[in-house]
Amino acid sequence: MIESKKIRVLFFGRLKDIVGTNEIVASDIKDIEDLKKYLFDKFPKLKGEIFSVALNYEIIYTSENLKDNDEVALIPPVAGG
Amino acid sequence: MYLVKEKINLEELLKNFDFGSGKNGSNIIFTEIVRSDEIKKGVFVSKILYDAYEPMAEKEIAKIEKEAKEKFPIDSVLIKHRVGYVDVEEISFVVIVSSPHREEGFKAIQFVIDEVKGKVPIWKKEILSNGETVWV
Repeated sequence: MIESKKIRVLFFGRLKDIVGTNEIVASDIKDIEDLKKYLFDKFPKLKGEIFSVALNYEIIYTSENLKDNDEVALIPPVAGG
Repeated sequence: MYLVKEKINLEELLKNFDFGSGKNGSNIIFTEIVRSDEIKKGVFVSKILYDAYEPMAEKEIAKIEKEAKEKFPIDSVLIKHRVGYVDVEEISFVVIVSSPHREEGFKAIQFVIDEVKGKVPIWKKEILSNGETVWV
């Protein structure tokens, strides 16, 4: 039996309110593009939002492949200070 | 740890800060304090909720500290940022830079402040006096 691949997806700032949760676990997602499609289907309101994507605490700019236990965070424009 | 959940006590921070035992002539302290801005008529900010992606924020601030020390001839840097609810007049963010001379100290502290505010995954939600909340 093939073990399913689990990806932890975290939401921050206003995105938390939009999706109504801090995090979800997504299964069997191939890469970041695939994950975005999955999230836009699940949370259509995310489509109009501006955010970067962090994979295991690093911002990424291309659609990287995902592996079991990866942590992906959706990062809206930051506003510290 | 750069992120702190408890109220920031500046005196305590200064007591434990390394001022360079005589080699640093310049010590610059920046604090950011939550303002009670009037958002609309009669409605003020009463507190701010700072939300952070904590493991990533810690890593990003560590990178900024390292970069500041590489870019500028400074000796020691202290950076603290609150997370959670911070009331008006409380400190949300502190940077201290200690260096032999002030010019590089001012450049370095400006760099650290801009980088932290522009790059570190921290977000703020204003809690208003009428109970409404607004992500900034």
